[in-house]
Amino acid sequence: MSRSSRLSVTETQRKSTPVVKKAVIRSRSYDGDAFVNLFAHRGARDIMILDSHGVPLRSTCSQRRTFVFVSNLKPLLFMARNVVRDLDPSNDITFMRIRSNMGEIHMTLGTDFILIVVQKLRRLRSSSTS
Amino acid sequence: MSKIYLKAMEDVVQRNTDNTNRITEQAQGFVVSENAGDSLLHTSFDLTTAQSIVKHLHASFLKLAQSCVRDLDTDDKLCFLRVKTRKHEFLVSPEEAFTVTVVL
Repeated sequence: MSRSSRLSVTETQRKSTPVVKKAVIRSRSYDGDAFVNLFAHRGARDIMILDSHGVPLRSTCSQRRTFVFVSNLKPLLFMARNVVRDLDPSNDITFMRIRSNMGEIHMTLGTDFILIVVQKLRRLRSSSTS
Repeated sequence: MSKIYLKAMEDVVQRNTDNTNRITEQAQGFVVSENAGDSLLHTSFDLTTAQSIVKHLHASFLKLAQSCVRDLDTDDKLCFLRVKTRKHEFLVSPEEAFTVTVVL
């Protein structure tokens, strides 16, 4: 996780997010690095930013890992959009959260970008289905 | 097969009426479907809405989410799924034999 990568993430974040998101970011910190550091402190392991077509733009993890995540999550994201559209044509998806035994994946689907935050749990949690 | 599930489902519904009422107080409704045949077991919605939720969310989207989590890490397993939209929020909980979806 290089420093320039973190800065790039914040720059892209500031450029592409709407005003409301900017306010949210500012309420945490004015420093871009602190934003990423706060995420890491709260358990976020990786942050990826994709454009609306699913092409990864910035990431805090390696290129290979980013590719693995994006290639798996991209069909899920687009199917989620289609499913919500099928259930109610006037509705639209804004956020999705996948909870598994070892971690969580949070996906924010904006109009201009897609933000993916991968979060790992502290301890292994036994599943109720195991 | 479905009759066994149906009978067991009726027993569970009888025992958990308080929980069901508590869920419906805070949510718009819930849908319970069987995993094997993706058939509707119990719901508080009307039949059309429940069938569409089972068809879209449980039958196709949940299966894709489970396979996606499995692809990322073979030891991992999907516990819970939340889909937040502008109007509602779908909370999907896949269990061994049943899948429960609560719509907030």
